[in-house]
Amino acid sequence: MASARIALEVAGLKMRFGPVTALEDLTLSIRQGEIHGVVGHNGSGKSTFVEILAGTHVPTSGQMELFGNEVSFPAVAKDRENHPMAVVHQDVGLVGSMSVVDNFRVNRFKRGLIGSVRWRDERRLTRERLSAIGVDVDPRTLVEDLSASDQVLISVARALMDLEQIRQRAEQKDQAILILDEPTSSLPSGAIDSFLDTIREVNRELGTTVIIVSHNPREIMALSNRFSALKNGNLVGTYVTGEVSYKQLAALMAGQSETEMASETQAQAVPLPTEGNRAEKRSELLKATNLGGGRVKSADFSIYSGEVVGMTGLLGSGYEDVPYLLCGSQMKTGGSVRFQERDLNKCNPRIFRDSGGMLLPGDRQLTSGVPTATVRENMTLGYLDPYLKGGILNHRRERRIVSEMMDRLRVRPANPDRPLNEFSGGQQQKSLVGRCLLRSSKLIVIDEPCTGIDVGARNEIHATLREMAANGVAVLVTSCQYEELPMVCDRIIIFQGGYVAGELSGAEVTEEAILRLCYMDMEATRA
Amino acid sequence: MGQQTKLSDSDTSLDGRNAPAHGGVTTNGRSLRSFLRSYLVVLLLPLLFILFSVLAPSTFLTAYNMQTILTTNAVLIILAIGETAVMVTGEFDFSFGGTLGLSAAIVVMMTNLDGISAFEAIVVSFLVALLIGVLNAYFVIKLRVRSFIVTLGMGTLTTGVGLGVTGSQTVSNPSKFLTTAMTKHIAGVGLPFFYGLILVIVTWFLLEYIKTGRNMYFVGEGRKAAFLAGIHVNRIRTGVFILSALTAWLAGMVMLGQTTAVDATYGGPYLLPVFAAVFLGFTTIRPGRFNALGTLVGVLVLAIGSTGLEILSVASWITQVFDGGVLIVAVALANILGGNLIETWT
Repeated sequence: MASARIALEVAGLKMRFGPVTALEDLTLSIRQGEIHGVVGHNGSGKSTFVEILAGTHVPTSGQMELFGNEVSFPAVAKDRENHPMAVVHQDVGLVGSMSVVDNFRVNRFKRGLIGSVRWRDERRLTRERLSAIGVDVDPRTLVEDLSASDQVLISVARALMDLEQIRQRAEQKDQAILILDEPTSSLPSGAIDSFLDTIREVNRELGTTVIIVSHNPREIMALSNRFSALKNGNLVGTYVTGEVSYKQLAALMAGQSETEMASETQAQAVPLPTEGNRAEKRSELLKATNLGGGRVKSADFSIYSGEVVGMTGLLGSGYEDVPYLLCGSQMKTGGSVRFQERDLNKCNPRIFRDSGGMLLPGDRQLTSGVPTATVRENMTLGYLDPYLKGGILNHRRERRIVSEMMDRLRVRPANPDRPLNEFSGGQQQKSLVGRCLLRSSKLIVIDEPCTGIDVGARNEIHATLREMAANGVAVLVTSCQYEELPMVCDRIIIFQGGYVAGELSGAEVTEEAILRLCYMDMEATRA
Repeated sequence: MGQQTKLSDSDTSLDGRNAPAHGGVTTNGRSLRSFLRSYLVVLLLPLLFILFSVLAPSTFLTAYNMQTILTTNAVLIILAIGETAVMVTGEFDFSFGGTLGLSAAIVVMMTNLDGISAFEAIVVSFLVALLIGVLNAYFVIKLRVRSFIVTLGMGTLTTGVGLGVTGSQTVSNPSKFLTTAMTKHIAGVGLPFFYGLILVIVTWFLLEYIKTGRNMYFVGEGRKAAFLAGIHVNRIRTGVFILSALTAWLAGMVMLGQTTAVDATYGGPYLLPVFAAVFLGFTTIRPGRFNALGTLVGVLVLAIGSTGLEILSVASWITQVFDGGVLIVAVALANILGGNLIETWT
């Protein structure tokens, strides 16, 4: 490995999207034949890096060399001999309603005499290739009928076959790079190990260089020879995996610097605040016991009136399903939920609403808002009763109350009869939060309250959430934005792999502490 | 107080989405444009009327002609209102033609049998229509087949059953009761037009002033958001399919009473004008939304347009050219107004 040649080298890679800098100045090199991890927190630039390698983005400036040859951007694999790279994207890029052979051989079919596809040959080839990496399926099966792990493997096999064809033509047979972007994110945990084995085998037997982007420290530890950590569009450093402890890796993934890493070794997992003294102060409003469903495997938590409680974790850790499990739009597979002395085990959004809950879902365009409906209609969606008189809707009253709410939340332009989609994202979100204020609820669940909105609107929404809690309402906020949660939450519950990894409250609530729990080695802690 | 005045200003518009709601902020040019946007199709009515009156003063501009237009388009109004309700919720109903024909055929055949009164026959046909609505809803909601497919199939299926019931023959209506109820006149206009008018007003009121009506729009425009907000999405969808089947039944009774002879395929030719009227309605009064008054305007535009053209050219084929052309133009207009809203249906 020490004398290895360089497979891929980038220097001074910079990428700007308008005012946002995704890559500041990235310089890193990847050796031929190694498995190289790329890690970093959300916004560190790792996805942008992959997009540039895949040719979907053209960097603002910078150079890239592939096996010693300068590459011009966009780095599209049109000239495959000079760009022997294959990318397996996170969403695997397969068409579910088509067969395995169609997906596997699309654009690559061999033609017969009259240009017709020789299906028997294609099917045989597909079967051979797939069984070589451990997928034994009938090539005529539809992709959507396959397991998630088989789908990922088919995507990998397709990329490998492309690389092989490149190698056959190229002079250097081992000059090929396989890029895997979060390949295991859609895999069930049981299938990850065998997947990693497959990748290791590909790397060893074929000499293929592998770049793997991942947010899972376990995976990087198990698979990579070296890894590069990115932060704010820069390289923090490239490390030999064997020389780094799990904890150090986790800290690097969370975007902490090396000095922070040093102090990290003393830090232990944050102790959970004792349930007892909390219950004395506030009344417990909702209690979930062994709650399961979606990506939540088993979670216990309580929500108290008068607090803003946050839920977060890495994407896919389960916290994002909690609002929908609580309101019953998503199936619970186990456990129980008690809400104000009432069982919500069999629940649907209407029952949840009628028992004093209020859900504001996370997608303004689809689940919380209706873009073509007016702000007025959006604000009173589901709660028209106050504007009915003898069953007849009083438009004037509805318009007045919504206007007042828009004034209070400073929604501009203050016209309740404009369609929602004529407002900016921040104004839309403020209006939708207004829906929660127009009705008295005991529990308000808000999913991702501040995605894609400006800082001003965010602060106003935070203030509104605090105000609700001050009035005795329990507010549950689920968010993937770790930096926003400490601004608004009294308490934060962190999920990992479908379980509650820990809880922070009071002064413990910091972005660093959240990150630490997100990446904490749970299995080691348990053992 | 200042705010009060502003609010009552916007109350002068039907729904607040129209021109006056933007008043004060916008310039005259913009409010004129949004006025035109809302009422262009409405303005088409007097324009067409004047045009044909000038071109054919002795035939078009007669009280008798006006009365005939209103009377003969009662069936279209009734059918189009049912379809409007369905389309508000983001679904389609193509089965109204078959339901109309089958309902009428059942009444005719049953009253020809001994010992069955016209009233009993009408009740039976009502129940059959109800069943059709329930079946449509069942397939669309429980079995998740697209309403487009289900109702297209149901329309053909019921037409077939209707042909079977009547032995593929045109049969005449022996029911005195129906004939009286459907051919009485007020000011020269047949009663069925007023039935249709009542339906228009009731539906308009439902969509504007009743909670269910508001929820219907949400079911069409943002079904997921509606469900998560606790709206009875499937109950509403079931309701509109039943409502649509029952309006088709009513249209069947009207047609039977008016024509005295019926055949199970009589509903078929209404397919196109119904959709043309509903889509025209989408572009006016409340542009971007299916609405009852808009649908009425749509029916009247089609009625005046095709009658006028027919009188001028003395050729009945012009009606089809006109209906088809209007449907295309109306959907194109609706597309421009509604953006990708319409894309999900067509």
